[in-house]
Amino acid sequence: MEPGDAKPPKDKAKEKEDKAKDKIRGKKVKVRGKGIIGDDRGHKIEIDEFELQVGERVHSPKRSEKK
Amino acid sequence: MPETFTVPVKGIGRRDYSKAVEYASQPTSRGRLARVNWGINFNGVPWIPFPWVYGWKIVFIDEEGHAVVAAPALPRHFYHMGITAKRAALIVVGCYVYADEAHADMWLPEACFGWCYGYGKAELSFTNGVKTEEGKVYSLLFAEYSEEASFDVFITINALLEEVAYGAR
Repeated sequence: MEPGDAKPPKDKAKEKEDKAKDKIRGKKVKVRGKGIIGDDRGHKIEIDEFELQVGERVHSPKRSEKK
Repeated sequence: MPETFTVPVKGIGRRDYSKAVEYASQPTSRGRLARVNWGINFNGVPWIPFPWVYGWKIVFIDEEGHAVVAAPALPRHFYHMGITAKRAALIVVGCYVYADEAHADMWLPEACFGWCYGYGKAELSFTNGVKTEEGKVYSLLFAEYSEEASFDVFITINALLEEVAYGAR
């Protein structure tokens, strides 16, 4: 490409997907349920509401994905 | 002529040490492994697309019996993490360790213990255990990839806790 040429068009589908991912990443969701945590020392804790966080599985990029 | 005399004999046999007995206390340390169990039922968790997952910061019980997110000083050894779903759908369970709670919120893990996929049931087992470090945050990751609006899962986590007691014997 010569200097001054128009920039190549962005991949709109990829851009849309990235935007959707950014919207969901880190989102916190309150969920009801029942949790019991206990140990041999006689401690016991009960939880009724949980805060879950949305995220993507983190992985090391494959050789083909590296630039 | 030198004068002769007889040395008087005091007792026969072993010397009597009974008046010199002292009591002493010796400090000792005793260690044991206590079991710690988590049984958690998540109900009505909203659908999430593959490969997204939900993360729940594992809650520990500290020495005073309070619920804390950062791992307490006494190390726990995770040896089993299992997930069971109501449906025979693709599910996943995993575990990440974060430097602190802020890193957990930003989803920036230090390390991953592992991932396990299954249909209806998935289990992570650590033969030699995974030792927790004080102050670090451990997050349990899971998801169910059925196309339904929400899902229910049951999660069990088992760990051993190193307990050391110091005292005199």
